Amino acid sequence: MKKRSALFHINRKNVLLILGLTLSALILLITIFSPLLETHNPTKMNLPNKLKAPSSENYFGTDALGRDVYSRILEGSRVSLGTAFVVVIFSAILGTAIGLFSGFIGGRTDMVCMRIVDIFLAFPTIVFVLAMTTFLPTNQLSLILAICCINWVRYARIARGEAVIIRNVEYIEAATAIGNSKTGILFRYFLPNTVSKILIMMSMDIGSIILYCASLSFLGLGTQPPSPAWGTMINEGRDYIRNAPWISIAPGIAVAVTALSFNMIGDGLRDALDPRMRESIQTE
Amino acid sequence: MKKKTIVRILTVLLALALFAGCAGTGETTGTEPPKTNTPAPANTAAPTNAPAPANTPAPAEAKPAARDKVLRIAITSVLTGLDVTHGQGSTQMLEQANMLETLTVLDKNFNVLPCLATEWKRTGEKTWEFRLREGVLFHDGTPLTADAVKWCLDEKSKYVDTYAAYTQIESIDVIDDLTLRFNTSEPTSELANVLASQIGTIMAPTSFKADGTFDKPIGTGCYMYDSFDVSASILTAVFFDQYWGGDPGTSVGKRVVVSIPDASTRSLAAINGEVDIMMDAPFSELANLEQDTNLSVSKFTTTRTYYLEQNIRKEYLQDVRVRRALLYAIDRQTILDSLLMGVGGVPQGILDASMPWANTDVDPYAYDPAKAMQLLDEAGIKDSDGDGWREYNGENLELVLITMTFRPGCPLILQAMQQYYEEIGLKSVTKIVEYSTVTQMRNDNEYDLNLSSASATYVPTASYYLSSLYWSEGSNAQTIGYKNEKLDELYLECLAEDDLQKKYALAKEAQALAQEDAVFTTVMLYGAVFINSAKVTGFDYSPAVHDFIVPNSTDLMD
Amino acid sequence: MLKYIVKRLLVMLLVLWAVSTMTYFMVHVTPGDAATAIVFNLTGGTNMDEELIERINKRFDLDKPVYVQYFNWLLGVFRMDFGISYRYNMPVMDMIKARLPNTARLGLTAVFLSALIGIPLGVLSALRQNRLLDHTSRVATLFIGSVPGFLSGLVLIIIFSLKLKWFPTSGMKTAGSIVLPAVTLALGMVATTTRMMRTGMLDVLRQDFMVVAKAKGIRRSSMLVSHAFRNALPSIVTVIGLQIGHILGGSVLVETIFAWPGLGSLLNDAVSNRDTPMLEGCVILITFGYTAINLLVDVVYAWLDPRVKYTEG
Repeated sequence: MKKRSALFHINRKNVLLILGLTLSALILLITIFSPLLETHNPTKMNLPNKLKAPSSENYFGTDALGRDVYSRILEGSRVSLGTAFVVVIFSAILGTAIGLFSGFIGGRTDMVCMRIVDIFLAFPTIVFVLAMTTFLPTNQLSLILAICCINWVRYARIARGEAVIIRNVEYIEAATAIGNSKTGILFRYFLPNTVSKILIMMSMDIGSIILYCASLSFLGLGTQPPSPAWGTMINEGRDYIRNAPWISIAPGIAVAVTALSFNMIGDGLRDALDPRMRESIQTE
Repeated sequence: MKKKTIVRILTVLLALALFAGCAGTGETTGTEPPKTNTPAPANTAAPTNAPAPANTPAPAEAKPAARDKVLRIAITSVLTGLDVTHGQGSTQMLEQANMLETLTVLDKNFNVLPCLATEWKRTGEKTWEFRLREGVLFHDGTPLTADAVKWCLDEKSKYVDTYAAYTQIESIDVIDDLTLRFNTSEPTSELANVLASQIGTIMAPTSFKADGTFDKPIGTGCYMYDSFDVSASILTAVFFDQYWGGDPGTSVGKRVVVSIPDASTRSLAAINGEVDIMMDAPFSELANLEQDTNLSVSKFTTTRTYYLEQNIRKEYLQDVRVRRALLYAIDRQTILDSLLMGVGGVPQGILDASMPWANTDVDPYAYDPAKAMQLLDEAGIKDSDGDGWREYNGENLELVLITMTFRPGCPLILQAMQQYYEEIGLKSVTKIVEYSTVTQMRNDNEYDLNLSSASATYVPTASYYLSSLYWSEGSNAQTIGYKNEKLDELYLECLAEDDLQKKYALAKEAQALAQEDAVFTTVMLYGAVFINSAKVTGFDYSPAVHDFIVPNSTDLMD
Repeated sequence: MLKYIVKRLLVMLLVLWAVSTMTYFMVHVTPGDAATAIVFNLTGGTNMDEELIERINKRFDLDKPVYVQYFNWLLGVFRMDFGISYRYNMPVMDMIKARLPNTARLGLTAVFLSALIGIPLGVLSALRQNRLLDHTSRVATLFIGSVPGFLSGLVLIIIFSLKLKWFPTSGMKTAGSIVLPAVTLALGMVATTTRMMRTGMLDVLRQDFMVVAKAKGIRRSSMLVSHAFRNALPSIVTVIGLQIGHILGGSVLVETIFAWPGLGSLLNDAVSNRDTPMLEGCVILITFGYTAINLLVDVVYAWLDPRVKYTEG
């Protein structure tokens, strides 16, 4: 058996991972320090200054209410990334816990859990969230709740699969036979495997969630104006797309670049992972 | 190796089957015509089921090659059906497709003119008589009779939920073949106006099949039903040769009414020349398109209002000084010029001044932040802890401003209001939600100010707007518990008054009271932007309709 | 194999029942008063009085206890009858029948387009693993997939409809109408297709017979066609399965932007108008379709790839 000291085998040829990590780190830094980088008050209306093209004063121009698009994107990064992180972390913890539990216990509990997972897997994410928002108030919290409600199942499926494999696979028996303790096995072999898979899933998910939120804002769900979430900004700019395209395009690029950088991490990690495990992780 | 070959063959077969299977289902469902009133356009192009007489060449066909043009009209709402007796498609078939007509019509100045009825009068406190025009034919060749009119309106009274409330018609008697008597539940002088609106569209009983199912709308209009695709929401109507009104002098032989609910998509279709007439383009398109010689961009002020409802169930809003302060704080002229790009208008009262019963001799609550702050101070809403925000009873006041997404100006005006309130030291949050959510929040008393929009001529009468917002027994006033007894009295008097001058005077008096109360206040007049093809002639906007009317004479130049 | 399919079918039935029930109760406890929504839909009016609400509740069976409503509704679902739409005043199923083929056509075209770009790109990427072409193609497809569909759709309209006048901006009037919405939908899928194809190819290239073939000196191109591509077929099937979810979800947005009369825009319309029966019908039909296609893909995949064990899941 190959001995591995790190979760992933990272080599210099893994351009995707390196690019993704660099970009994401940069984006995270920008998000954290966004109040310092903002040049204008992101929610302050300034009508005489409306629909100004990008300039040295307003880097990405101004919108219909004269607000600075650059500052709004920075402010919006907190909403959009914040939402994505909350959703991903929450659903990863919930899903993994349920999945591991179900897989280890086995039997009837496992059956019931997996049927529940099947039910949720029957919904395309947007369809489920749309249906759910009909009875939730329109705000960001509802959106987070609705996405979490469906998103955990994919983590549960992966975690459960891992647990089942571990339960059955011979090398555990072999390891116990050599005299390793059960907890030792859990930490040395099982956790690294599971954690790496979950991590890949999470980084891919951050990209998807940012896109989902943008799409749902477009459909009028989630954050409400004047809050500068990226999806809302793109949507608000649609009416001006011919005259002032920067209102939509700038946050659109922000969404794309952020989603891209996390997707690159996910893809890069996938490469770094043992090839046999690669395809069990799939996103919608 | 053999197994591999088999797998290979299976692979290919399955892949093919998968594609074929999916494609197959698509095709079979596609060719099977939807079972509803949605004949495939191709089938109905040849009018096999239409009666022969209507299709034989009209005797007086002077220009044989004329009327070969197609006029395409984009509408904002989704056309969900054509059965007006169930409240579907009435506005669109009356105002854009011109398939149905009403007993009376209104001109641009709100004068009632004859249409399917030639004479009418109020014969008693609660009775009216209408005399129908002679020689009017429905599209299937049957004549327009009093029985047909009674049948149609009676059906509406059964299935159109708002019919009774808007028309106040209790029953209809047929006096002779062409004369009808209407008995109303309240004394009303407005029946002739009411019947000019989309509520009064007349459809022939033959629109239904013998088994009672709806077939297609058969009206008396200048264009008759050709096809309707409910799934794509596209209605096609063709010219009706035996139209009672004679030749309107148009070369348009076919009208296509298509729903494109999304404003951006709709305006892009107009800009690209895919439709000839469209309403409610994004305001920002105005300036940009005026140079385009293929298009004609126009804007109109409509009778629709953007109004602000102040939730007087909240203690602080029960003080009229606070309510007025919240109105003085808004700079409407700047909102109009900068946000709405000049589309719409700043109201001088509750209604647009073009309406003969509008009272413009009231305080319009012009922008005056100093006065607003003074009024708030007087009402005890002050900033006493020096944090920059005003408090009420020792706590920072945070107003909840809500509006619906349905009308384009609402979100913009609401966000601007938030800014103006910030300038006078009032904290507020905005919520821009679906219409149904607004209803919910209103029922749950979870807001302070609600910005909404209403047509003042949904029913084109002097009393309609009063009844829809201000009358204490109407649902809007009832929801927030608004009641002004004097105003109620004036409304009922106005409804019953026969003399137009007196009627308008009563309406004006009521509006003055309403404006003073500042509970429901018009903050902006709704403007409509049309992007039409430059080829369109004879199109004019009339405020006296529900949506917008495309006259029979509208034509396309070569 | 047969046992596996039967078992999956049984599970599917259970899932579908659960999905229906969940959807029904999720949508039916909406706070937005159904009667208000109905009046607004049918007449555009906002004036409500008690009597009117009562009449509507009666007409749409809203006055019965919830469990009675649910039972009647479930009986209907078995007959594929989802009741009468509040908004269209016609059977929900009729409307869905009219719209479903449009979404199917759009989706299939999009899958085809994404395969057209994704499969060759994936193969090339695999052959040039970790070279410039590989990196470029992966970053580029990932980036394209990261642009929100509603934005790329708008940009496409401006370029190809307004500037170049190649395709109409919206609707379904001409044969060219499908191009822009299908491309928009396909752009979101290219990344997945390419990635799956690339990994599938890499796996194949690493396998023994490829190494042997190379040693034997068989020409690379003929080898690729005869062996590698065929062995990568399971990946293609999986890709199609994965795309279904994307199509069904993505169609909500794309159909709204392009005024394409499909199931997605119908669903969105039903949500914003609180047309409960229509909403339930759409959600259930979409989940039914999604589940059924996934099952089909799993079965085909299992057939193609003998390594898959049937017992799992």
